[in-house]
Amino acid sequence: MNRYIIRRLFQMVITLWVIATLTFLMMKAIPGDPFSGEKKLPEQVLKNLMSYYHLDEPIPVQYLIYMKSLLQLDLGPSIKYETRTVNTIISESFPVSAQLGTQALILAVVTGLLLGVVAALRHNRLIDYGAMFFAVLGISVPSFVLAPLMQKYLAVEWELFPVATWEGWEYSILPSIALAAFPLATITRLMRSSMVEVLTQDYIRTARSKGLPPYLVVFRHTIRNSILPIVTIIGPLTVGILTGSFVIEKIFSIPGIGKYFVESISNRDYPLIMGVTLFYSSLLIFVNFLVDLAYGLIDPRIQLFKKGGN
Amino acid sequence: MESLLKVSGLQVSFEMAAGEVQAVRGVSFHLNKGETLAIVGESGSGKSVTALSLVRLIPSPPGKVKSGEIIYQGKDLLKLPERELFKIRGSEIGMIFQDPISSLNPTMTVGKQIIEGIRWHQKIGVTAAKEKAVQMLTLVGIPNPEKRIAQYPHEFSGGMRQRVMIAMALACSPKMLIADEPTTALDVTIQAQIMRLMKELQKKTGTAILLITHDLGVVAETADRVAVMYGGSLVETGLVSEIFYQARHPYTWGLLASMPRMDWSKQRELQPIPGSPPDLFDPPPGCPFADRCPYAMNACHEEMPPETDVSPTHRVACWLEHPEAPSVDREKAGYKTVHVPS
Amino acid sequence: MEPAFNPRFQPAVRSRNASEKIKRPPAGYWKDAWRRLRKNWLAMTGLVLILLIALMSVIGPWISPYDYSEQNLRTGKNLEPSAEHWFGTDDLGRDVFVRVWEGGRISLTIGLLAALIDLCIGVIYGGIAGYRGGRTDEIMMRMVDVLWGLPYLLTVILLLVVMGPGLGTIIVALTVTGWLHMARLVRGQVLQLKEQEFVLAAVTLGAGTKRLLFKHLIPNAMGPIIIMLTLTVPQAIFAEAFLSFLGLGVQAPVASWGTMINDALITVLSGEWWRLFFPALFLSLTMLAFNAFGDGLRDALDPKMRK
Repeated sequence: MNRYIIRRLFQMVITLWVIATLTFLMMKAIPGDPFSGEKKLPEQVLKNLMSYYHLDEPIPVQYLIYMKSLLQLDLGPSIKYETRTVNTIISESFPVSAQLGTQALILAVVTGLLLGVVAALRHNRLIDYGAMFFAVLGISVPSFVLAPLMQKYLAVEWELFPVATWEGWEYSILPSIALAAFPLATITRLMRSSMVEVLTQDYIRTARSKGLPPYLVVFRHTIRNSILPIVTIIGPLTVGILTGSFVIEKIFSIPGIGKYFVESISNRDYPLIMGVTLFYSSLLIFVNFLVDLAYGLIDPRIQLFKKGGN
Repeated sequence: MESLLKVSGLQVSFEMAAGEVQAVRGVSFHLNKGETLAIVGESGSGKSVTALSLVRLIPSPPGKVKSGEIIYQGKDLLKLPERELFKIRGSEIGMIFQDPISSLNPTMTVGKQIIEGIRWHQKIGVTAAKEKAVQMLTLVGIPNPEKRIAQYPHEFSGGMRQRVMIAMALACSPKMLIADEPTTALDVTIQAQIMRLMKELQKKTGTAILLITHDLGVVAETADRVAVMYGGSLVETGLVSEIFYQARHPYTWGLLASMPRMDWSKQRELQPIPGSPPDLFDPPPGCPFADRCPYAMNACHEEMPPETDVSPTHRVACWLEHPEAPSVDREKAGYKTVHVPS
Repeated sequence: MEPAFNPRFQPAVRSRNASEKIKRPPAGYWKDAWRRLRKNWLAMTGLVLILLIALMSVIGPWISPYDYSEQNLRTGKNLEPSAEHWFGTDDLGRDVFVRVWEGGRISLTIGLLAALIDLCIGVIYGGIAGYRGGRTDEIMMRMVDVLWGLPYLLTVILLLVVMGPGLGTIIVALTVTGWLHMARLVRGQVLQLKEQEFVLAAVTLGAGTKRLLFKHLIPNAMGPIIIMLTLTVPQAIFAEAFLSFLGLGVQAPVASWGTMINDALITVLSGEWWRLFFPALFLSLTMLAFNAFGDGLRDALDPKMRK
């Protein structure tokens, strides 16, 4: 068990290093600098700024400086927000994004599993077609289409929810739903097809031959085995929710990481872009690691933790 | 002998995209208490579907029992409400399936899989049920049952898994065991062990066994009676000795001639049956075997043959039994020289 | 005594091969798939929708008297849909109908090009890795694994930040990360098929590399590849709209569904519904059509479903 975790942690560090290096090189490949913006800065100011951000050093030196500060978990100063570092921006805005993302993920997983199970148990009946119709809709309608539509009807016209901003829990309902729609639809479809497949397995017939009533067959034998593929897509779905939060936070004016990230792109605030990229990448790598561990716990056939033969 | 199960006129079909497959077309047989009845036939003959239909376990849709009666101890299993059936499955009628790898839930320990049936039927506590499960594993010859009970199916070998299946099927002491090709997926050496085990357990418990198989060797060793199935119907039923030594249906002859025998000289070749089984999407109006039968007459192609009792235990469905039909040299039939009446 | 002659009990006359005859004509894989697809009304609706949207994207801008970038700031701003402007006009007085179909051109172009490029790179890369196997496969797949760990849209965003926005750069950015899926799929298929008995049989019978590839491996891997292709198209369309929405996609005055939706966000409050509705509708419809068609195709091509 320990050996597996150590190996995985080592792999994670390597991947992070690759990502950090790639982002660094990509940022350096951009023609121009962040200060070649609208207003011309005086020569001396520009020079001071360049040296403050180590932009006047040769690239290998810049790389070493960057890597050194990364090791100290210091993502550097922001260029746009002169008084704040990338670390403070992330630590201020991440809780907001985390709340939004977690709510969306929970909503997606719970509702998606439920709908998928019901659709599979009523395979090829009306309720199945209904659930599948909504699932295809959820996959096809992008969140940045769904969100303004919900704003317009549910918030502006019918006044059921606040339109935008982030001032309390009720403000998180609409953005959470908009963010959850795609993963919810994906989980519903996957759970349904996985469950329909499991229901045809021989061991389900065995369970029925034991005389177990349908609810026991479903709970004990079907659901656990059908959930396996869902666990594997939790990683990609988390990615979807994170990137989806870029547009959702923009539409609902939510002060989360996504909003800062989108702004940093148009502001060419390279330290912030790199910081957010690295932060999200490590988060995702960590989520994938947790998912792998969870998978090993659910499926006894997968031997993550070598017990030394069986 | 007291009859435990009586099946009459069973018809099962499957609704497919391309049409209706008539998998079982009017099958009647009975099973006595404590005996072993083997249903033999090639793949697609409908023998497994027959077995699964007995406890209504065919996948439905697309499968559907169209008509017939399955009387188990006075009750028609086809008319019983689902809830009553749950009490019979597993406790009165146990089942073993062909592939022990896919028939066990991969994410549940074998102990839990045995215990859940016991607890559901006998309403006893976990510890008592666990004790019973260990007993069952001991009974089917699994060493170290206390340790094995906490393991998952993938930690067992094929033969051991089938033993687990048997333990599971017999855990509630059923009066009848349906064994659907229990040895087909196993190594030859393991096959014999499993069959011997089933025979032994039958002696101890007095369970009647309905054995579905295509292996005549297994039949000769374990069955009391044999029903030969072809193209969705039973062509011949009788005691083992009657089927092996006094078979009257040309399909049974063909089946026997295609099986290697110890008492044959090396020169004798196995005789395959030419042709292929009928298309059950559109079954022929007459005898299903007529197309492949060397003795086929015009009647065979036109009309289903009636069932004729040859002896109180031996019954055959063949037009050759008709008094007007030409006689066939049954001694020679099944051997290389095929006698065709002129 | 001879029994009375009864024709029913005379040996039946039949041809020697009667019982060997195959009863049903064998339906070919593709014919069979097409038959199943045709019966799936949802998939067929998707296909018809795709064709209609493609047709309108081609002729739409041509049948309208307006140009997609033609502004009318004085009298034509934010007009409601009418006989003159079927889908109304936007805040710069541009005709929404023309812009929607211009957007359709961009979406479909990106979707199809991205899918085709993914296909080419993926089939070549995955095919080589799977076919050669061993060390080559090991190295090639390690590289894929490293890239696999990168979050797709985040990478595309970074690439676009570096390369600058535009139609060409979007396609490049989408394919830089997109081919991984196809490569993995093809490699998996080839590896799996290589071990199948029918391929071993072909090798035993002396089939050469070319015959193996074109007669055995590619036709059998075709189904999953086509399914992946139809699912790549809506993904690429979505990515383009997403990036354009964030301002990283095609630049003004070129119309894209993503930029049109972004520009129309303020109408949630101000009420010119048509500016949001039409691009949103056609983006969603296109995605829906491709997803429905892809699903139907998957069901039709999956040999496990064959009955």
